[in-house]
Amino acid sequence: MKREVPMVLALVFAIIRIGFELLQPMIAWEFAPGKTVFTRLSFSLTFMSVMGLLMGLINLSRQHINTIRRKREHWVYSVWLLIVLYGYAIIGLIWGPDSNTFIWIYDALIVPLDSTMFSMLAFFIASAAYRAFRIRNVESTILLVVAFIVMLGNVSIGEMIWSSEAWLGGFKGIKDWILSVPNTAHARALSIGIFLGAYAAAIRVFLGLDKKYLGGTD
Amino acid sequence: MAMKTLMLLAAEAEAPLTKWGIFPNVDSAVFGMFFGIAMIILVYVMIQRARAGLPIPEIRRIPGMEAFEEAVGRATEMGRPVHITNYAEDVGDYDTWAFWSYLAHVAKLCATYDTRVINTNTDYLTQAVNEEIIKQAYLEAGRPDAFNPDDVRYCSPWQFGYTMAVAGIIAREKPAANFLIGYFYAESLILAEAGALVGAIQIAASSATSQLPFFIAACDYTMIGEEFYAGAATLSKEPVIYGSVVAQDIGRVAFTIIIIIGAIMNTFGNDAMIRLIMF
Amino acid sequence: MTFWEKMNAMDPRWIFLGMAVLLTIPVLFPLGLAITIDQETTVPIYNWIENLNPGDIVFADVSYSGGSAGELGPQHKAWFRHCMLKGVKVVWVAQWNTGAQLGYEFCLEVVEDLAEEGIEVEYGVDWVYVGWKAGGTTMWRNMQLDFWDACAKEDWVGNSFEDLPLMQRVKKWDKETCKGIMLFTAGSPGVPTYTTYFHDYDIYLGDVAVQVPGNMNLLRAGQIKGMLCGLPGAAQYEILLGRPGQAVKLMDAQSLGHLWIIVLVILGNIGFYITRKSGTPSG
Repeated sequence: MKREVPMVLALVFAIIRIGFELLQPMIAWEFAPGKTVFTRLSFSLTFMSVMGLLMGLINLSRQHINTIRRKREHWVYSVWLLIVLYGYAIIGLIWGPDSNTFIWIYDALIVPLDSTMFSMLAFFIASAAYRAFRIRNVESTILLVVAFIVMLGNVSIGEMIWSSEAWLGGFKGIKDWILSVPNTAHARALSIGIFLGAYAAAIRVFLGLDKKYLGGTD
Repeated sequence: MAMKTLMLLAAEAEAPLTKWGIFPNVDSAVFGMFFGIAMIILVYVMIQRARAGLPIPEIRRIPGMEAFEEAVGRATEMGRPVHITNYAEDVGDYDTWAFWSYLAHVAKLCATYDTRVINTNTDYLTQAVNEEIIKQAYLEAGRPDAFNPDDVRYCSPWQFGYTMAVAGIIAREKPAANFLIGYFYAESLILAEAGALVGAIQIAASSATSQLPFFIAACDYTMIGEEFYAGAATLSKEPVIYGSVVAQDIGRVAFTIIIIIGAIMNTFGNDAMIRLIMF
Repeated sequence: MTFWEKMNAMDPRWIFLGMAVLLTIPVLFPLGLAITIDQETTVPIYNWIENLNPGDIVFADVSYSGGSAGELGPQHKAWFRHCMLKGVKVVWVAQWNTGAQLGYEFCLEVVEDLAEEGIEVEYGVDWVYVGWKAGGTTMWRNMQLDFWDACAKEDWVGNSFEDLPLMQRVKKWDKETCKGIMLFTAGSPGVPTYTTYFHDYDIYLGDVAVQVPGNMNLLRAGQIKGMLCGLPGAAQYEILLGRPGQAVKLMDAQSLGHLWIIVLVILGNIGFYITRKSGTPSG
């Protein structure tokens, strides 16, 4: 019963959802003038997802309180995490998310931290390229040459070396062709495969053949 | 004159609100419905054939699938943990469903070898299911006491908050095996490089095409695109799941035929195939 | 240990240091390298706004956060400036809660810059920032069905839609009201929301560079009509507007960054070749 009920619910809601996307009478089904059933059901999903955030909060708190209690390695970071987590939430609750304090923390801390993490990509791309880009065979040579062309075709220095007004449109011309033709072909082939794989996965779940979402291993 | 009036009326008439009276007037609504039904029938038939032991096409081995045991074995030998994560998707997403197959497999291997498995999450609901899957794996391996719920960690719903947390966990815990499985964005390379810096053997499987180059550069094994889903299905080794993978392969052949015929027809100025698909 | 063996075993921190130096120098001392305008990706977006009539309404979406603001911020500002100069009205939504406030601040920066130049732009009349609403993709589906209801009739800063003159014209998010959608995106939720539910609209993209190859097939298929590709896209848009700004300055840094990677890869391969020839395992 514990497994059957969620499986039946998954199937029923999948059918309802498909109906709400693909059948016009269901899309236009109104329970009051101008108010569709679909919109109301979608709103309930929104509320459920917001309430689910509490689960994350509980898990994060439990895990870090345990770390502090047992004085595990780096437990001080857990203290700091809890201060920041609840501190920011409390500031938002007391002064509101459009208060100067709340926005200052966002502007002065969150945005720079976010940018810092993203900018690390530039450094990691360099180290990964240095480590992994090796001419071992024909395929890796092609990969390397294409990477050089695309990199130079994207920046001004490439234009300086081989202008887009020169033969073949320079690095930029070849880069545009690579992105438009071979790259697009590969992306479409992969997308079709991914779509079919995802579709089959969805059918398996809705037909109750794949039950891992219930927490099992089979 | 009458013809001209009719043409003017046709031009002024609003587009029909529905197709066949019940489908919404959007591209591919009818085709999509029939395609969906055909796929469900195909999956059902293939599963029935697999269950009945009737012959169905073979599935090729996916490179990288054998490496899972090797990676967990290495972690066991080194006495270091295993780390597994999927970043982007929530419980209602098919990438997460595929990820759970890998998680169950890795958790079972870790439970059998008595190796610690750390799972990091960005979605609170996914984290709850992951915890159940890992707990069940330890239970099945006869080691329920070895399961540590604190190793199934919810980090942050914010992309780079999660990335910072996971990169930190990898640097501190030094996992010997790092599994990056699911849908990833800009964090892919940061996590893969964090794993490379601690010398972890790294296996990635992703349908995120824009991140595949990073995984290929930074990981030891990478399963690309559809291999990610097919690998998930083959892990369970059930005939029913196998049947669904065969069905999706047949669907792919059908798509290829449609594309070739459509391209030829369109080249010669006939757009019937395009109109059929867009209907 | 030979020089090349040492190179192969180089501490990655030297690579990071080289990258940091090469990215910083051109920011402080710009080189002024030429920038070519991309006719297939950037120009269609510019022409779209140029060809709209004053008073036409477009929708724009902030689907990024601080991380990608370096690339998408200059795009956002240049495009919004163009709309305001042309008298095109913009309704902003945000699929990312972490970037909604940032997007709002970028809009305010543009408005302040215009005010300094003597061009007055009025909130609620020329633009409205609806911002982020909880519920993910499902919420965007709801907006399509009933915009006011889905947004709880309130913008990002708490104004009621009733008090905003522009919103009186945006009772519905439909093709009559919306003359196109501009999406600035760094990931998920992002493009699929629009290619799935708004596929019959003219969709334009402001994309981070890493996602450009993945989204190029959408451009070829006509699912999107134009694309600003990372920082170069922003720089090109600034040049089209005749007002080179932050993106143009940063393009030199990007050039040198790319050059550094190329040098590293060449050095790595020379080392690999020499050490392999001498029988030492490497890389």
